[in-house]
Amino acid sequence: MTESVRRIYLHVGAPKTGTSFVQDILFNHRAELREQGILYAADRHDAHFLAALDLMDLPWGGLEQEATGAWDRLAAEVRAWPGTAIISHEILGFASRVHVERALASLGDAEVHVVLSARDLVRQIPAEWQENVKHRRTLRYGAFLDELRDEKRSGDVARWFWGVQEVPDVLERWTAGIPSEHVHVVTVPPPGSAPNLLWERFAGVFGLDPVKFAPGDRVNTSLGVPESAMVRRLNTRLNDVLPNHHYRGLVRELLVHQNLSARSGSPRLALSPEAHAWAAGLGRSWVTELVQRGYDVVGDLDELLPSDPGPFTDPDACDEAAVADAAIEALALMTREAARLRDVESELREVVADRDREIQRLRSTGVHRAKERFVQKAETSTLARGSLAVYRRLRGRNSRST
Amino acid sequence: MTTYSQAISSWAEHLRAGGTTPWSAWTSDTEQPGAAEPGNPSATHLEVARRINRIAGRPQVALVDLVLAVAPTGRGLVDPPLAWGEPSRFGSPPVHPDALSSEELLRVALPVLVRLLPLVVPAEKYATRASRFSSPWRRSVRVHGSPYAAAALIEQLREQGVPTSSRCTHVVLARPLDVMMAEHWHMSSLRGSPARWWRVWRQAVATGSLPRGARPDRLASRLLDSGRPVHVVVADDHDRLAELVSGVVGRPVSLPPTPDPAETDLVRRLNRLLTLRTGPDRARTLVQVLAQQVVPGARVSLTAPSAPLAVPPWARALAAERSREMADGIRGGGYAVHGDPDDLVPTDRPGASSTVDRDRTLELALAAGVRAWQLQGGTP
Repeated sequence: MTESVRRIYLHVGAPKTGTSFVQDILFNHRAELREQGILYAADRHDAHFLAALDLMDLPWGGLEQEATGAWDRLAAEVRAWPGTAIISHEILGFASRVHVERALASLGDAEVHVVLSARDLVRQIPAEWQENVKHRRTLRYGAFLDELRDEKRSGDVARWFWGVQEVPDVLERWTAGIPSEHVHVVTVPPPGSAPNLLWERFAGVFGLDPVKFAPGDRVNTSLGVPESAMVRRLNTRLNDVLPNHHYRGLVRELLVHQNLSARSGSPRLALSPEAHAWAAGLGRSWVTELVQRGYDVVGDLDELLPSDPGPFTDPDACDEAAVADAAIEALALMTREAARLRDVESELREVVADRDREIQRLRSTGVHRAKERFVQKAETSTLARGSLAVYRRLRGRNSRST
Repeated sequence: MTTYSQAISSWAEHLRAGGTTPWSAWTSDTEQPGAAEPGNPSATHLEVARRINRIAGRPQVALVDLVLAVAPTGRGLVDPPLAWGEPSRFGSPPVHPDALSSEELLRVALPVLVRLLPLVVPAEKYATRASRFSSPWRRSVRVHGSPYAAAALIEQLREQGVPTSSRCTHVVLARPLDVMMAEHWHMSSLRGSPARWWRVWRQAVATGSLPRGARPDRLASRLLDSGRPVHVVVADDHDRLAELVSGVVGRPVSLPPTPDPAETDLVRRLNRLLTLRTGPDRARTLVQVLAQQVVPGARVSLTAPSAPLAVPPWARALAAERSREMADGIRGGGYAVHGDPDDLVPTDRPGASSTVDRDRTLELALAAGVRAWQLQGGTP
């Protein structure tokens, strides 16, 4: 498929609405997409994340150091592409108007479509707290909710949360001068919907065949309540002593994503009845506003209205036995990992010892000893030094060779 | 009747003309119909421009335009509108700009500096200059210990042509532990670290150990093994330290006071941003330009000095224990000791605070912005 019009889809959020799922599909199929005239310009999985960090000068646990110039490189590739291009990262929702102006200006004169995927607040709020916990935060759930409900948005958590999650505001910042038919709100289907329905909605917006670029198996990475409480407490012990790159590999990836998320039977995080009522009211006001704006809705805005409140287990006061159980599982996992790494270390030591023995064997030969004597002689004898220089020049080797 | 857009435009023009009238005074007799509207420029941008005008003292149209155009950095309120009649239904809540936190204003003040610093004079000008005349007959001296004071003394002796061969006298500088930690924090920041003051201490508490430059006892013990004379010089005050060191090295030296915490805080905040914009090597050069060329000129605009840094309350037990351990170690170390090792124990300094005053950091950032603007040719 070749496009006569240069078109750019800017998927700007929101976090926890299947964005990583979509980005995985786009990244894994980027070669086939390119053949169809669609550019997903990424040489690494997190390329658009780094570009977003660069665009917004956002610190991100040191990762931002890899982001220098990432937005300009991405924008240059997109500008040079004759067909459709897709840029997708959920933290772009945090962009201020100055960032948006810079981003849009850098993309040239293409037809820009803004895409925002949205999910009801009652599911978003607990998911964001868990995301906070997975990013080393130690704020309790109750304090997190208090921050969100502070109308002045005094705390960092509230500023970030509303910056990326307040759907009407994010869209207003990103869509100045963009026709409403080029603004696409993709709603996340409610629990129990067909597994590929969300992907089909995204594919419809991007003009892709949802079957040809079918997603693989999805892994649910949400934590249960006791597991979340345990990781939050673990953060308080690790935050000052464990560097970010180790936290990412050991805690977020190995412990949370690969293990604790797979535990079944734990209560899932939800909102208390009172918080539910507040979030539901807010969600209704957003839907009313979105209806008035006349954007292209992919799905149904009613899906942004929360369902009735379900059972609530408070992670700040949950069953300590369940937390201990999660902690012991984590300890067992980490012990196995430590043992595995020790085995790797032992194997590497053996490899080094083998190499060392080989070096010693080579050094014990008569030829090598003669060479060493000659090099030593070159330190005091001009003649030997000159001969050595000539020898090295003839051999074309560096000074480490004898 | 005045609309929000009209009011904000007229205030922005006032600021571009060098005005310093606060928003509340600007709109005191204005009728305020309708709601505040999200849009550019934000309350944060406008308030930073107003405060820069206050420091600059004369209209700086291009500088104000630069301020209003920079993208805010880091996390905070997204495009907060100015307080005006009814709040808008969505987006950040309207704010009174004079009530914006220093942290919020720094989100705009820092990118202004990031834009200006690369335009200031080339960094090569500030490279340390060794004396053109070597003095091999002089006693060779190597300096260690309290990081900022040691770096200053090394540079001073180098400029004077004092040799540093291996047949040297080792001089280990020791100051109260809180001061040595503040110096360590400052020097780490100049090398590119973005760590906060409390994180330096958190790490010390978590690991139970102090940075190398803050352990003069261990430094001295290790140096003693070299077989060369070791002198440990301990003093609470930088002038007294200089006096004692002068006696050891046989020439008058001067030592700087402890670095201003606001300056260290500014440098460590800029490290992240500059690294992102220019890469780590260029970023280190630019913070040197800031420290050596911009900040000295900016200091004259500051209204008050920063409070000295104190050990955070949760680290005081560790600080007391380690400093006493160091004092005992130095007393029985078997090398020459000048001054009183008990000076290593932190004391309650008047006005000291265990947190950096962000108001002072903001004030310095704004003043540094104006100074950098002047240095790069904005104003003669």
